[in-house]
Amino acid sequence: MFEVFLTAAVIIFIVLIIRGSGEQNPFDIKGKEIWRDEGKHTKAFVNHHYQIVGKPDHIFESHSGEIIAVEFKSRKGRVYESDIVQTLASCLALRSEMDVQRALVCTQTTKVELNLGSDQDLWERIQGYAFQVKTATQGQVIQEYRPSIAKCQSCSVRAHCWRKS
Amino acid sequence: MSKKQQYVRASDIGRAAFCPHAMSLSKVGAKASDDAKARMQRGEEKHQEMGQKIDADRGREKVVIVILLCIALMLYIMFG
Repeated sequence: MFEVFLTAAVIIFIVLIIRGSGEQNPFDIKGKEIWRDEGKHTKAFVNHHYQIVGKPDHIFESHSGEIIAVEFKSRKGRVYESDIVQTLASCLALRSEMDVQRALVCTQTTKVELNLGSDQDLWERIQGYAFQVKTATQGQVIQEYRPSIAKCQSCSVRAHCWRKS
Repeated sequence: MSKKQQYVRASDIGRAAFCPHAMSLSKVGAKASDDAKARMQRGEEKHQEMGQKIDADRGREKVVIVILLCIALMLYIMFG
C-alpha cells in the first residue's frame, strides 16, 4: 500500500514539475516555443490575400493550445506605437498558417499584450501604413513627418532629413 | 507595379508608423548611418541571446525530468 502511494506521489510530482518548468521562459508565457526567427535564412509568413509578408521573433503555444506571437525589441524603455503596428502586420502574415489570437511586444523593461481580433480588424489598423510603403516602393518620398527628439535621435536616416528634432 | 512590389513587409509597415518620411527615404536609397548599423548589430546579438536563454530554460527542463526519473527508479529499487 505504501509503495502504491509513494509511486503515485512521485508521478504527480513529476507531472507538476514538467508543467511548471514548461512555463519558464524570458517572456513568462505559460507554454512552449514552437517557432523562432533565426535570421535572414528563416522563411517569412506570407498572407496573399492582404499581400503582407512578415515574421514575429518567437511563437509560443500555451498549455491550452493558444498561439501567441512575440515581438522582442532589444532596447530598454517603452513600447512604441510603431512596434505594435509592426506586430499586428506580422500577425496578419502569420494568420496564413496559424490561428494566432494574442501577441506580446516586449522591450527589455516593458511588455504590452495585444488581443488581435479578426483579419479585417488587423488590416484596418495597418492599411494606411501599407499604402505608404507601396507608395515609397514606387520611388516617391513621403512628405509626412513624425518628429520627436527620442525618435529622431535613433533614426537611421537622420542625416538625410531636414525636419529632424 | 511588379508582383514583388505589391507585397509589403511588416517591418516596413512598422517603420512607416515610426515616421513615413524616414521609411520612404530608406526605400529610395538613403544610406543608414554607421551609428544605426552598429545599433542594428547590437540588436541582432540581443535577439540571439534571447534565443539562447529560451534554449537554456528548455535544457534545464530536460535535466529536471532526468533527475526525477532517477529518483523514481531509486524508490522503485528500494521499495519495489
